[in-house]
Amino acid sequence: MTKKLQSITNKLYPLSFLALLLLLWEMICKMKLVPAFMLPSPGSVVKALITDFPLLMQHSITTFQEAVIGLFLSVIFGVLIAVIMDRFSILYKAVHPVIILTQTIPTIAIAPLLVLWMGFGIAPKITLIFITCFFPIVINTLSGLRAVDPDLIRLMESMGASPLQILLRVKLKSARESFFAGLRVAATYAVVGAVISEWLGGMQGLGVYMTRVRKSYAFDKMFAVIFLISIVSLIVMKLVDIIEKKSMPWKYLNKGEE
Amino acid sequence: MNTHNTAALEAISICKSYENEPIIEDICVKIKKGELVSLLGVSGIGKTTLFHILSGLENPDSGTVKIYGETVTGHSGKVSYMQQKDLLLPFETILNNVCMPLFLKGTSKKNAYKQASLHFEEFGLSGCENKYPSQLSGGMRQRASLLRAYLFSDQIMLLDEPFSALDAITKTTMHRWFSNIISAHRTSTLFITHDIDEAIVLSDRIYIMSGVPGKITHELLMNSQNRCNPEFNTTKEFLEIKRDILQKINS
Ligand SMILES: Nc1ncnc2c1ncn2[C@@H]1O[C@H](COP(=O)(O)OP(=O)(O)OP(=O)(O)O)[C@@H](O)[C@H]1O
Ligand SMILES: [Mg+2]
Repeated sequence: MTKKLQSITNKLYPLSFLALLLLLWEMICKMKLVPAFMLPSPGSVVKALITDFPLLMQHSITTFQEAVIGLFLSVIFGVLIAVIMDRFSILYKAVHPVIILTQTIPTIAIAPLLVLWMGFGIAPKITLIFITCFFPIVINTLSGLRAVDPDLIRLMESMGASPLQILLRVKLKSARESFFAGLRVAATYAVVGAVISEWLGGMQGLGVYMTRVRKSYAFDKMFAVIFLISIVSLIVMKLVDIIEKKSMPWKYLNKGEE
Repeated sequence: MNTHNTAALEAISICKSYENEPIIEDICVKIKKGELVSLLGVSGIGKTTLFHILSGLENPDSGTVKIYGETVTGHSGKVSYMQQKDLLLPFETILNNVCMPLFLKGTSKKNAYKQASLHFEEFGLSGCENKYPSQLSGGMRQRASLLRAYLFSDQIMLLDEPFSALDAITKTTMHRWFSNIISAHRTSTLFITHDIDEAIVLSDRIYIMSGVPGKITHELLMNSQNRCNPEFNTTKEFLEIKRDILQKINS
């Protein structure tokens, strides 16, 4: 009971801070400290959000879909690569530095290249999301796999377990915790990656919408779409949270039971 | 070779060193079928190291391990081994944890559960089936780990301090239960303990390890009749044996 109360008050602090910021923002606009076309008031942003709502929904769904597909693919391949790298230490030594190196390539710089190679369809977008999400998933899953207590592996061996049985019954399950840490980071990258890839072309998506309203200097709509991008990110993160809690019941014992 | 006289488990002149530092040297042990033998020695002498070799998890620098006369040096999965740490999988329920050796052998979930649940009460674990290891006390986790080892095989068991986390009363109950099980199944057991009383009360024979590098310096035969007397551990004879052992461990 007290725990519940505490979690409510815990949420109250950031919410009231947010409200304060919005109030300040509204006041700055009301007092005309900044020209209205540069910084629209929160009220006008909400208005823009409501008038364009059906259109924005369509765009959000596209972005959300791209993010989820890209994320899904990077999970599949990321975990696979992590398992292979964990199994063969030569591969680990060879590939690990290269993966780190690829992270120094700025996403925005390669995005136009991807469009040149793959056109304006969904392919370059998924690829871009894949490239950005792949890294945190591989690195985290790998460190989870490598962190398994060697005594636990010895125990399984003493019971006659094959390497495959050890992988399936101990390693992958132990690595879940650190995998989800990676997935949570990747989830935020996925939405941002989707928007960036849409800037470069396409017919649908929050990024496409953003480019259009920027060209017409509709700053209120611009802010509305930024707001929506946060919402889509939050939804993807929440989904990750839900899946995590479902798949690791032993970690959330006190909250789940009793 | 006469099967009646071959030892269930035999180690012949085992040597092992870590980083050029000899840990154990020229260890010979022999456990006959149905025999319960304990291994005593101060901390760090190399008891667990010997167990790793006997269980096949590690190769000795020299020496042989035999099971019923067959050389199995460096082959794991032959004997049941309960390690010093409980090593339960934190993400599996107690039932799934103790069933692990059965799953690994390919037993179906249903049959494994059936087989395991027969023993939950004896091991003082009833009601814990669907709990996770973090919800159990240290002693309960140890018993779960013992049950897991038992379900792997009741032929030859290596137990590394199996009762160290239990209070005196639970320990006595477990001892009684344990000797019953082992004599019923004629399980050949070698177990490490720091509790001299426990060694005297339970064992048919006691090996004492001492020195650097660790060697088996003494071997004591216990009188099995004493075990039937529940008050044996208060007799003068018991105290004399204990004094003798203490002296030998520290020599
Ligand atoms: N993998 C290893 N690498 C290097 N040294 C090791 C390794 N394993 C054990 N040792 C060393 O071997 C010695 C014996 O260790 P061991 O665990 O066998 O002792 P023990 O008799 O079981 O002690 P305890 O009663 O405290 O469990 C110790 O000095 C330890 O530091
Ligand atoms: Mg030890």
